[in-house]
Amino acid sequence: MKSLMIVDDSSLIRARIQNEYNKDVFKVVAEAADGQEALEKYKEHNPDVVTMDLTMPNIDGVETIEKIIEMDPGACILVVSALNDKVTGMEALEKGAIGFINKPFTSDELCEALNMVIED
Amino acid sequence: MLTFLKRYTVIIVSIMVFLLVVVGFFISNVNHIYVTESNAKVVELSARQISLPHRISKNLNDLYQIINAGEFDFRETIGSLRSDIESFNKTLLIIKSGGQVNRDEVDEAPIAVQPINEEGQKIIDQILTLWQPYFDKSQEVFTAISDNPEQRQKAKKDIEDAYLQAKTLSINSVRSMETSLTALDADIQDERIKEILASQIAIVKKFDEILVATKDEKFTEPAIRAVRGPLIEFDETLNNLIAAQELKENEEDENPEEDEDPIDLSIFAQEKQASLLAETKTTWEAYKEKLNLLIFEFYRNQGVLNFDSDVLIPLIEDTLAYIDENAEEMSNLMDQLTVVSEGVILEDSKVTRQFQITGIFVALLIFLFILDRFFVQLRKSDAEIQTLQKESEQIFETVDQGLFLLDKESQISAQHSKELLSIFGVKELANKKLDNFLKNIISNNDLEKLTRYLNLLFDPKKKEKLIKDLNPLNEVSVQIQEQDEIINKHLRFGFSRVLAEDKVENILTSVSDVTQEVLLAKQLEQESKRGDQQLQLLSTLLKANSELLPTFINNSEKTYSAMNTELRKPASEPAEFKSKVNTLGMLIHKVKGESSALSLDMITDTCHEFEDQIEGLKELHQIDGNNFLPLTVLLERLIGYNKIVSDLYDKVFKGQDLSQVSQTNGAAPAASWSHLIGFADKIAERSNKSVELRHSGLDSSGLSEKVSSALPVLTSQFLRNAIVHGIESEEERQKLGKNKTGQVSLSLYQNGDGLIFECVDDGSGIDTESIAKQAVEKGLITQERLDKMSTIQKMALIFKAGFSTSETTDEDSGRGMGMSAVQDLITELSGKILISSKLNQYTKFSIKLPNT
Repeated sequence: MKSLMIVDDSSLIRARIQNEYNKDVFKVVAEAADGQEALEKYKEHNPDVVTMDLTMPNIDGVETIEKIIEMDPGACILVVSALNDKVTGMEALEKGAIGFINKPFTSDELCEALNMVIED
Repeated sequence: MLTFLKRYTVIIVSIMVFLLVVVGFFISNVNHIYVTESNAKVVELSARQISLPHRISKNLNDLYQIINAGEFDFRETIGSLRSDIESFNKTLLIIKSGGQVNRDEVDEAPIAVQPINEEGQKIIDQILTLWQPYFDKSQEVFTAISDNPEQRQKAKKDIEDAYLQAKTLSINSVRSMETSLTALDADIQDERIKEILASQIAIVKKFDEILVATKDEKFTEPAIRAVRGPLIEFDETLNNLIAAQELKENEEDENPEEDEDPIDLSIFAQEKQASLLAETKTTWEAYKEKLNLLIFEFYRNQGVLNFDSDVLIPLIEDTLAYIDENAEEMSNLMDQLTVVSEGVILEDSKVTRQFQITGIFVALLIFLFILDRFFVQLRKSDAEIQTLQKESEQIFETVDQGLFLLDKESQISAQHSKELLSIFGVKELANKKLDNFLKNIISNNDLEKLTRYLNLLFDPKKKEKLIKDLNPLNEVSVQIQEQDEIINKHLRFGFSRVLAEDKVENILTSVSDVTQEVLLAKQLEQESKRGDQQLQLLSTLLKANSELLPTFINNSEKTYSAMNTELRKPASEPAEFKSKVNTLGMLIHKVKGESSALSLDMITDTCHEFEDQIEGLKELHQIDGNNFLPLTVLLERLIGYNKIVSDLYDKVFKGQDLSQVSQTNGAAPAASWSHLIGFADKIAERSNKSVELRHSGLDSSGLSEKVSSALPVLTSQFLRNAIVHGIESEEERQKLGKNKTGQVSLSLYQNGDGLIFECVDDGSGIDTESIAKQAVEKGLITQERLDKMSTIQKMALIFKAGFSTSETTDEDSGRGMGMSAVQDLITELSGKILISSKLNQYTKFSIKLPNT
């Protein structure tokens, strides 16, 4: 069982991911509504996988990814974002995220992406 | 390298096997080769046997000639002997008493010799004593020979005597002379004299040799030995050959070698060789007998040759004759023997060679077999590769996508699909840098994104499927040069990793031309927009003013036809073009007004576009026919819209007569003009004003067709003019103490036989002076003319084409066409325009129209 942390400023999106992630493989150990919270919870829970929103108050997604990777270079981060700016998406990947899915996503897309992120 | 080794393992192994076989073969053959070598020596030996009888015969001949002195020429020997003797004598005397010795060489200075010391003189005296009789006798002999050459027999005798006499003397004297001279040599310090002495000793020795050579056993013995040696050797060898025994190489062999291996003579034991040898032996035995007799005779005389011997000479003659007779046969026999032996050896070596050749052949066969297997294998794999290559080539030829591989340096692969070139309209792309190539056809921004995206793709940590959404060239619009024109294309790039051992080695890139798709999508969008427009039209039609639509369609059709005529009218002068532009502007403005009044937005928008074009043309210094092309297109579109409106109208009110509709429905007459209120509101809203419209009598019955078709234009134009140019803004009105909502009224009423159409607004009124000023500024009239104008005439300037008081142009105003178009229409209806106005209070237009 892999531990999962959900980072998104929208409670609605967090709830959707909570409802739809594949529970036979993952277990949500933490949720965060902004970058700062995400960093703290990451330290605390050290989750296997993080789903990361990009547009968030305070510390945005890209910066959060950068800081998580600084802490844990092996961190496994999946960006889940409404993509209107591909450059930001690229930046997130350049900083160390390993995948990207576009909001809105279907439940299947989410599960497939999460599975892909942990396969080696 | 590894692949190379793998691929060529078979060939390398086969070469090694081949070499091993060859080497092994040679090792096994060393012994045989040795045997062959030994046989070659045998051949050499038998060849030597051939030469031995020749040597024997030659030496015998020499011997005979020496003995039979008549055949022997002494003269030369005697000549040199004589001068040597004289020189010897002379030199001895000089050494004794001093003087000069002349050297042999002419240019060398003679050697001055001091008289020798006493002891030396004694020795020389002794020598001279010994020498004198020999010298005298030899002089005698020399004289005899030179004086009587014809008496050779006698001279021979004399020589023989002289030499026999001198025998003892010569041997003794020469020995003592040698001794004396050697002793003398020890006393003499002068190197040159030593030299002379040495030459004297040499002369003495030479003399001795001549003596020996002329007379005594020392002369004959070497000759006899010369015969005997080869004789024995030949005999022994022959016997050995017959016995086919091993023969130790003779000590007399020219190249004696101590550890020489014994020669295998077994080949001579063979039948053919044995018979040859037997034959040789028969001949030889007789020969040998004669020679042995000769030798026996010689030794019987105890080494002293008897020149007169009747025994020896005939014996030798007999032997020579025999040799003459049989030498050839002997030679032949020996030759045959050699040939046969050689044949055996040749055969032997042939066998060896055959064995070798067979071995090499077998090795070669094995090698070829392996090679063949290898090539078959290679061909097979090559064929597979070729098939694959062919397939991929076919794919590359036929696929309707641009396909290529990109490496980490973003270089395009050497192979790519054919379509790639036609997509980009270039001739060559292989091995080029993608970014270098793309920088000319996509934006820098996209290019930078592409580079970043490719970097992500090459990073194996990123999940390929989870970054596809970031592809910046998923759909990109590019400008591509094809022949002479630049074409706008929509391209879709796809990127997929090509993995090699868990590393991203290349990126398979696909490019497809999605222009059609994109255009289709756009068309679809347009279709849906048009659907919206039709819906809008439909709603317009369903509004109560639908009965005005046939009038609008009718009017605009006429206008479009007039515009068409105007567009086609030939023009070449700038003035003609200018008038054309003005006419068209006026006509379109009329349509715009009507469509706008009926809320036919798409027509209004197109009219506005048309007007924009006309404005553009007015700004051009030079106009030609081509400039009117865009207008034609827009006109086409307008005609199309007209058709749509007309079709829709027919569908909605199919078969129903308009007048019937209004009559049977008994719709309120005012209702048919109710759209004017909405129109007024729209214009007011757009110009940020507040207006209230009243109208009366517009729906009067009994109007002539001309008038009823003109009425919509008149109402919309005057209404628009009143709101845009007459009514002030709310703020302005409040400042002036007026109600902030302006009033506009439109009315139509009977006036005798005719009609009066009236438009009144409570706006700013017409500022005559301001109009006049603007007209002059715009070059519509000259100041001179203006000065002569009445106030009314000045007011009428607003009807002049090109005049507009509004500073901006929009849907409602500003083109300066409206009022002039109205004036044209009224003129056409044979109407009259009356204007009355008061500044800041009102403006009233009264149009008198005959109802015909």
